[in-house]
Amino acid sequence: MEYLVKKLYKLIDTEKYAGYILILPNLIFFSIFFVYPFLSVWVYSLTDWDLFSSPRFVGLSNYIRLVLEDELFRKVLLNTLYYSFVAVPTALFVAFWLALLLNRAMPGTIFFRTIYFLPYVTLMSAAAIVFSWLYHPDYGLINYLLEKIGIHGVNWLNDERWAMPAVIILENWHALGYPTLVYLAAFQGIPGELYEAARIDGANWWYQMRYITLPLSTSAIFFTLTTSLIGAMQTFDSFFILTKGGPAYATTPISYYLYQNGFEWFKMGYASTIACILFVFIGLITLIQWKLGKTWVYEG
Amino acid sequence: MGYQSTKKNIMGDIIAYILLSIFGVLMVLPFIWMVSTSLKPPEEVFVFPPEFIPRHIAWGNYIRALEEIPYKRLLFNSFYIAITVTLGQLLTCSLSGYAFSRLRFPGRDVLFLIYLATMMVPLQVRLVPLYIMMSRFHWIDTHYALIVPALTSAWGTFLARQFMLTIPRELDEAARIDGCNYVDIVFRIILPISKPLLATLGIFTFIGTYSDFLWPLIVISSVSLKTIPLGLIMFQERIYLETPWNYVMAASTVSVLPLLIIFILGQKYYVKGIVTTGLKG
Amino acid sequence: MSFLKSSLKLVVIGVLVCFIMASVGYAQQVPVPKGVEGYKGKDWEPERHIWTLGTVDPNIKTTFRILSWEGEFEFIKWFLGIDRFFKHYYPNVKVEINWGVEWNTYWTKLPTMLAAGDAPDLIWMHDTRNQTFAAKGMLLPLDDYIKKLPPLGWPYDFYTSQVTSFQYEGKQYGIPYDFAPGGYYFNKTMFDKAGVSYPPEWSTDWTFEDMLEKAKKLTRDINGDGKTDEYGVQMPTGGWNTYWVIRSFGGDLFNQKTKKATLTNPKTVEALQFIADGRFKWKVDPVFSTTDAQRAFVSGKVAMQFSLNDEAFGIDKVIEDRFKWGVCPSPRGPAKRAQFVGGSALSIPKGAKNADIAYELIRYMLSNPEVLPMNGRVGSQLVSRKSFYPWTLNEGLYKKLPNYYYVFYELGSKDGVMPWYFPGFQEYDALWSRYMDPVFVTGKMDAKSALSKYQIEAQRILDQMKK
Repeated sequence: MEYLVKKLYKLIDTEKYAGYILILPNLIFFSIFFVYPFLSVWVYSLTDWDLFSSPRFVGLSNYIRLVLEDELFRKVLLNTLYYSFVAVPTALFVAFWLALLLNRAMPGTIFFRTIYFLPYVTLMSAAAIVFSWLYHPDYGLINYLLEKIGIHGVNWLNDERWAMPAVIILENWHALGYPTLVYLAAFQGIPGELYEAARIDGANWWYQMRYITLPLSTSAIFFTLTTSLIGAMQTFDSFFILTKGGPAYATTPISYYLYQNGFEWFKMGYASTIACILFVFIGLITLIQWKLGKTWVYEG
Repeated sequence: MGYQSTKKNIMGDIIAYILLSIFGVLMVLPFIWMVSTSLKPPEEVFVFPPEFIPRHIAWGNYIRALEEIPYKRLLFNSFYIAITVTLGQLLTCSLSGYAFSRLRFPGRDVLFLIYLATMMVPLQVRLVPLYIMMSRFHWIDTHYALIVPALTSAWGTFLARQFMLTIPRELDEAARIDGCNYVDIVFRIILPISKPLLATLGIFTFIGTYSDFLWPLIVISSVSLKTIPLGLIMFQERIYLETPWNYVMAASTVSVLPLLIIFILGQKYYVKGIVTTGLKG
Repeated sequence: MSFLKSSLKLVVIGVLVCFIMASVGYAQQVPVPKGVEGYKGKDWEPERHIWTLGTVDPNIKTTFRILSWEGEFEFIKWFLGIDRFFKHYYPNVKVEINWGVEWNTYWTKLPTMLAAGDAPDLIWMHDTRNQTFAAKGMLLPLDDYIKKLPPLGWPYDFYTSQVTSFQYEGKQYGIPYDFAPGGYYFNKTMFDKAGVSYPPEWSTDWTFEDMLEKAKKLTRDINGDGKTDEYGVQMPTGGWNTYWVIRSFGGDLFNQKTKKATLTNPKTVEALQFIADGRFKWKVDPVFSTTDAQRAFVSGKVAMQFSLNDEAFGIDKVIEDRFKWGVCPSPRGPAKRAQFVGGSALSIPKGAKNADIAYELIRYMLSNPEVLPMNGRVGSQLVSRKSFYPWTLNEGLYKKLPNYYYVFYELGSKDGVMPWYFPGFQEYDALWSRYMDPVFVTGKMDAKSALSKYQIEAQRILDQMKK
C-alpha cells in the first residue's frame, strides 16, 4: 500500500503522467457519455429496434425510407428550415441594433443590459407557459394589445399559419440577450480612435456604421450566426410546451419528430436515423457557412 | 469605446433611451403579466379587457399552487441535482483544463480537438444511445440518469482551458521549484486564482442543469422524481378542467426566481463567460 | 499536501452524498388514495380454494408491483379490492402501487420498464393498445390460467366486444374490467329556452338529419353582437370517437380481411364530411381548443355533446344545479345504427415475477360478486360483468338519468362497434390530426382530399404490420 502511494506521488510529479491523471475523470465520463453514444447512434440507425425485442439489422432501409418516402419528415424538415432561417436572422438583427443602443456611454446601460438578459435565464418551460397564456385568443394580452392598435387578433396557437410565428416570437424573446451581449462586447473592442478619425473627417453616423462598426463586427456576427443556427435546428422545449407540435404538425421540428419516433412510438432505429440525418444537415450548413464566412469575415 | 456622448449627442442619447425603454418594456412585459396573473383570484383571471393590477390580491395562490404539484419535492430535486452536477463539472473541467493548458503529454492536442468537435454535436444525436445505455444500467426513472452523464462537458473543458491559458506560467514554475507536484499546483495555486472561471462555469452549469427539459422528460416518469421544468407542465396535463392560470403563473414565478437571483448576483461572471467564448470562438 | 487531501475529500464526499440522495429516489412511497377510509365497510370471508390457484405459498414474502393510470378518485375501488385480497391470501407480500400515472406517460413508461427487465406484476391495458403490446410479445397470454380457474361468469357474463378486443391471434391477453359506450348528453334547459323538442330518450328514433335540424335551432346569437354564443351540438372529431359515425353511414376505416385501409371509401368520406359540414357549413358545431371543448357542455355553451358513459359522474359534479340535463342515444345513420364502445382491462406483462398471484388478483377483482358492487358504486364505470350493471349509478344520479342503462348498457351491447386496433394503430392515430385538422379545425380542406392523402400513410402503416 505504501509503495503504491509513493508510486502515485511520483507519477503526479511527472508532467506527462500528471497530465493523464488530471484529465482522467473528465475523459472517462466524456468517452462513455459523449463519444460512445455519438459512435453508436450510426449503428442503431441501421436497425429496426423497439427496445423490447432484439434489434433487427435492416441496413440502409431506414435512410431510404426517411429521405425518399417519409412525407411527414419532409414537412418536419421544412418546419425546421422555416423556423431557423426566420428566427435567427430576425433575432440577430434586433440584437445588433440593441447592442448599438447599449454601446453609448450613458448611465443606465447596465440596467437595460440586465433587463434584456433576464429572459435568457428564465426557464423555457415557465416562459412557454406564460406565453401560452399571453397567446390566448380571447383573454390573452397579446390579442388585446393588437386590438388596441387596430389589428384583429388571431388564434395564435391553433392556427396553422400563426403557430410557427408564435413560437418564433417566444424563442426570440428568450434568446435575445445572448447575441446582444456578444455584439456589445464586439463593439466595445473597436478602438475609439477610428471613430474619432471618422468624425474629424466629417463622416456621419451611417458612414461610421458601414465602414467601421459593421466590418469590425463581422467575426462576432459570424459566430452568433453559426451558433444560433446550430442551436435553432435543435430547438425542442418551446415547441413541445407551447404547441405540442401542432396544429397538424405545423410546429413540429426535426427534434420533436425524433422524440416522437424514439420515445412515443419506440422506433429507436428510425429515431437514430433521424438523428444522424440531423447531424449531417447541421454539419453541412455549418460547413457552407464556414466557406462563405471566409469571404466576408474580417479577422482583425 | 464606441460612440462618445458629447453635447451634440444628447439628442441621440434621448432617442436611445426611448428606444431602449420601449424594448425593455416588451422584454419585461411577460414577467409582469406572469406575476400579475399569479396574484389574481380565480374570478379575475378571465377578465376582459385584461387588467394588470388585480382588484383582490390572492397571496393564497402561491400556497395552493405549490400544493397542487408536489413542489417542495421538485424544488429539492432540481436543486440538489443541479448542485451535484455543477460540483462535478467544476472538478472534472478545471482539472483537465489545467492539464490541457499547461502540461505537455502525447495526444494532448488531438484529444482537445476531439472535445472541440463534439461541441458541435447536438444533444439529439446522443439521445437514443444514451437512453438505451440508461436502460441497460437500470437507471431509467432514477436520478442517476440525470446526474452521471452530465458530470463533464466539452464546453466546460474548453472554457477552463481558455481561461487557464491566461494564467502566467511563472506561478507554475515557482511552485515546481518549491517542490510541488502538479496536483498540488492545481489545488493550491491555480484554483484559488481561478475564481472567475469557477464562478462562470458554476453559474452556467447550474442554470443549464436546472432548466434542462428534454432529457429529464424522456428519462423520468415518476412524479416524485421530476424536476421543476417537468413539474410546471403538469398543470397542462389536467384533463377536463381549464388550466388554472393563476396557479400556473404562481408556480412559474417561484420556479424562475432562483435563476433570476443567481443571475443578478453573478451577472459579472456570466457576462464575461459569454464574451470570452464569443469572441475567441 | 493536507490542503490537497482535504479539499479533494470535501468535493468527493459532497458528490457522493448527492449520489446517495439520488438513490433515495428508489424508495418512494406511493400514498394511499384519499377517501379510501370512507369506503371501508363490511369484510367478507376468505375462501382460499375458490380464489387462489393453490400454486403459491400463502406466506410468501415478495414484492407485488402494480402500474395504473387510474387517478385518485377512480383508484379507490381498486385499492379496496387489492387491500382485501392481500390481507386474506398473502399477508406477507409487500404491495407497491404506482397509480395515477398520467395517460401519455403511462404508455412510454410501460414499454420502458419492460425493456429494462423491470416488469411490474399487474398492469392496466386499453383496447386501443392491446394488439400492439400483444404482437410485440409484451403481454402474458392468460388462456392456461383461464382454463385452470376461469373467472366466475366467464365468458357469457362478460361483454363480448370487450373480451374480443383483448384477444390477439386467438389468445386472451387481458380480462376486461369495464364497458364504456358512447352517447349524447344534452342540456334540457337550453332546449326549453329555444323551444326545441328533446331528442328521444327511450328510443333510437332519430337520425343525423334530425340532430342537424335541432342543432340549427339551438345555435343562437343571444346578445346580438354577431358572435354565436350558443351552439347546437359538439360532434366527435378524433380518430377513435368518429368511428361509430363512419359505420353509421356504412363506411369503415380498414378492411380487416384484406388488410387494406378504406379511408377513401365514399361512405367513410361522407360520414366525415358530414361532421366537417356541421362545423363550417352549418356552423352548429363550434371549433374550440381541446380544453374549451371539454368545458363547453358544462358551461352551457353547447346543447348536445357526444361523450362516454363515465362522463356522467364528472358532469354531474360540475354542473350541480345550474341547468337541467339528460342523456340520449346517439342518432341513427343512413346505413344503420352504430354506437361507440370501448374499454380497458387488467393484464399481466411478460416477465412479471408474480404472475400467478396477478391472475388470482385480476380474477378476484373482476368476477367476485362481493367486489363488483363496490367497484360499480364507488367508481364511474359499467363493471366487468354484465349482470352487475345496475350498480353503476347511485340513487341520486339514477333519479336524474332514469334512461342511463337503456342508453348505454342496452343499446351499447346491441349496436356497439369498434375500430380494428391493429398493432401499430397508435402510429396511424398519431397522424390523424396532421391530416384531418385541415378538415375539422381550420375547415380549409374537404374530407375527400384529406382522406386520400391519409389513406397512403395508413396503408403504409398497415403494410408494416408483421405477417
